[in-house]
Amino acid sequence: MADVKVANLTKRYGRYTAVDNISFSCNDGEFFSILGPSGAGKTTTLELLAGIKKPDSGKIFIGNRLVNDLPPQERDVAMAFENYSLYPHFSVYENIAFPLRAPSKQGELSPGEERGKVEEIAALLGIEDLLDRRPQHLSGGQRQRVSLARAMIRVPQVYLLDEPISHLDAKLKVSARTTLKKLANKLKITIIYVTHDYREALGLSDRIMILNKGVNEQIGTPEEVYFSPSSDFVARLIGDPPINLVDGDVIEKEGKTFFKVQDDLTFAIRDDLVSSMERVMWKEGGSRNVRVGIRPQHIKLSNKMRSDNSFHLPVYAVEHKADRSIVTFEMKDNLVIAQVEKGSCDTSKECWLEFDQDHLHFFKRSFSLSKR
Amino acid sequence: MSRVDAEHLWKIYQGGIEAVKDANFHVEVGEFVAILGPSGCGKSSTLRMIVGLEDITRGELLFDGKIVNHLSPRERNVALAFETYALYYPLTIYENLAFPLRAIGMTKTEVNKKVKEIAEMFDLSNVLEEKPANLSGGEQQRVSLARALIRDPNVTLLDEPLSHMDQRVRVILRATLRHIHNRLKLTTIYVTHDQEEAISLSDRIIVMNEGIIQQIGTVDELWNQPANKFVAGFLGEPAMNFIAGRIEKPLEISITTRDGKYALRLNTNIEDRHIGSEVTVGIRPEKIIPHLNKKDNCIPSLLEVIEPLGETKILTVKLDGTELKVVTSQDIKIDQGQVIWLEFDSRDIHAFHRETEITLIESSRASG
Repeated sequence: MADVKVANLTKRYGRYTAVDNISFSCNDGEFFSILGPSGAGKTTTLELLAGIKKPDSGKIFIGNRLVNDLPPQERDVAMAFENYSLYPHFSVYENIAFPLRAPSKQGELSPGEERGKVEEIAALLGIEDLLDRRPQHLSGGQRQRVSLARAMIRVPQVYLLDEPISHLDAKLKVSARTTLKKLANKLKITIIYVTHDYREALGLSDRIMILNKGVNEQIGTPEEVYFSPSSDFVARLIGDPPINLVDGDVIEKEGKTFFKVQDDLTFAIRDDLVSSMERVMWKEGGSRNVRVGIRPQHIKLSNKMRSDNSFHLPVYAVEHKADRSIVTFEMKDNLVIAQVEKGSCDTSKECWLEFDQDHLHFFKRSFSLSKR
Repeated sequence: MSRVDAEHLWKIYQGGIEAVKDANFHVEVGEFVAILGPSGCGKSSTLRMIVGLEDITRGELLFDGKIVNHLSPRERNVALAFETYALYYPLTIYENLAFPLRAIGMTKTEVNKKVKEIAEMFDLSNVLEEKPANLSGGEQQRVSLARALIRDPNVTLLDEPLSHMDQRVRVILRATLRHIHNRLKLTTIYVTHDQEEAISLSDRIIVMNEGIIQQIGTVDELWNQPANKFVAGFLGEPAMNFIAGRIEKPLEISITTRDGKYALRLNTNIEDRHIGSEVTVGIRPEKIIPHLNKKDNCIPSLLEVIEPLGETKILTVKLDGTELKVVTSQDIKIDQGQVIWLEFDSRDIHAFHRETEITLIESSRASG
C-alpha cells in the first residue's frame, strides 16, 4: 500500500470552485475520512484522486509518484461508490472476481486461487452464503457489501470509498461500520473515505478532514475534531443532538468578564478561559462579541437557581428517551437543547440552566445563526 | 378531534398478500401515537386504511365510536403530511396554508387569522410571501406540517415526515412537532421506521412486524418490558445484544463459552417450568460494564473494534462466535485486540424463549 499526498489542489466548474486549495497527506495504512455536508467538495476530491477528473491546479502523489497526468487505470486505486453499480447478469461471485479477471491480470491466478480470494473477502463482509445469487435478489445492504467486496478483492495502492454504506438502514449501518473497521485493521490498507455522516467518520477513521464549500476547515483525530473543533462549522457538523451556538456580548464588570446574551441571561466566564475567548472575539457597533458553543450533554438543569451563573429560560418541548430526556428551551429567536438524565429536573416547573464551563467552546462567527 | 378505534383490521391485497393481520388498537383524543416497524411491516397500509386511501378488507375502523369504513378521506376529515412536502410550487406560502381553509369555505378574515396563527407556531411568519422553492428543505417540511394541521382535522396522520431531513433540522423539527402537539393536542398518528423518532415524539408506540402488532406501550414499557425479542431488538441503537444461555435455577442463567461456564444472577424470579430451558439472553450495549482485569462472574471477551463517537465509545467484542456491542464512556483506556471482562448488571438482563422468542425475563428496572 502507499501514502497519498495532496498539495494545493483546486478544481473549478466554470465560476464555481468545488475544491479550493486543499492540502493533506494520508499515511500508508491510514483510514482517512473526508467529512462535510452535500456540496462541500468531498466527491470531487475523490474523483480528482482517482483520475476521473483533472484538477485546475495542485499536485497529487500516490506513493511518492506524481499521478496528475496518469489515467485512472494506471493510478492503481480501487473505488466503491454509493450506488452499487454491480453487473446484474453476473452472480455475486463473478461480480467480486471481476477485477481479478481484467485483461492485464489474465492468467495470474488459478481458478482455485481466485475462489480462495473471493471466499476470503466474502467471509470478512458476511456475504459468503450469497455467492451464487444475482444482485437483483439481494437487499440494498447486501448489494453495498458486494460492491465493497469487489473494490477490496485486489490490493491497490489506495482504496477510495464514496459513502459506501450510506444506503443501509440504521441497524445495518452499525454492523457495516464495524465490519469495515475490522477489515481495515486486519488488512492495514490505505483508505480515503468520503461521508456526510459524522458517526461514520468518527467511528472509522484514524484522522478526518472536514470540508466546507471546498475549503479544508480542520484535519484531526476523532477526539480532536469532537473535543477541539477549530470552527463553529466543524462543531455543528459533529454530534447529536447538535451543539448549541449562542452569540453574545463580552462585558467587564468589577474586574470579571461576563458573557451576555440578554439582561437575564448573563454569566461570568471563568478566569482561565478568558484569554482563549479573547483570541476569537470580534468587535461590532462598539461592543465586543463572541460565539459560545456548548454541547447538550454539558448543560446542567435544575429547578433551583444554583449559582450566579444560572439563568432561566422557558421550556419549548421535552422528549423522553428510555434513559434520558432532551429538553429544548426558547431563547430569543433560537432554541437551546439540553440533554439530561431522566428525572433530573421537573420540566413542568421553572427550569434553570447552567453551562458547564469545563466544556465551553469559543468561536469566531463564520455563519449567521438563522432562525432555527 | 376524534378518538380512533381499530377493531380486527385486515388488509389483504390481490394475490392474497396479508399486509395487516387482525390489528387492534385505539388512539385517545389528543394522543400522539407512533406506528413503528421496518419496511414491509404493514405500517403504511394501516395508515392508508385510516386515511381512507385503501379499502379495509375486514374489520372496523371507528372515529368517536362511529364506523368510518365506507367514508371518503374528505368525509373522515383527516389531515395528512408525507415525507415529500407536496406543496403547490406556483403559490406563496400564505396561499399554500390558506388552501385547505378556502376549500372548506372559510371567510377571508377567518382564513387570515388561522394562517397567521399557524405560521407563528411553525416559525413561518416572515416567509409567508415567499414561494416554496426559495425555502430550505426544513422550512418546506414545516409548511407541509402546518398545512396539515391548519384545519382542525379529526385525526392528523404523519407519514415519515422527517426521514430525509438532515440531522440538525430533524432534531429541531422534532421539538417543534412536540411543542405544537402540546399546544393543539390534536389526535396524531405518526408512521415511522425510525425508532429514535418514535421514542422521542410519542405518548405510546405501536410496534409492527410482518403485518402483526407486536406490542403497544409507552417508551418505558417497550424498553423495559418488551413482549418479545423483535421489540427488544428493534428499539435502541446499537441494538440489544443476544447470547445463547440456559436457565439453571430460579435466579440464575448460565452462559457457556470456550473458556467456561458463567453464571448470571437474576433479579426476577422465573416460573419453575422454565428451569432447564435453553433461552436467548438479551442485554443492552449500555448495560454491559467492561473491566480491564479479570473479575468474578465476568465473562472474558476479545475486543475487536473500538469506535469513538464523541462522548462515548462503541466496543465490538467477541464471545466465541457471538459479537456483542458495548457502549462505554469515551475516557476508557483500552486497545483493540486485548481481552476485557464483561459484567452484566442483573437488573438489566432479559431472556427470551429460544424458539417462540417470547419474553421470559424482563428488566427489573422500575418503569417511569
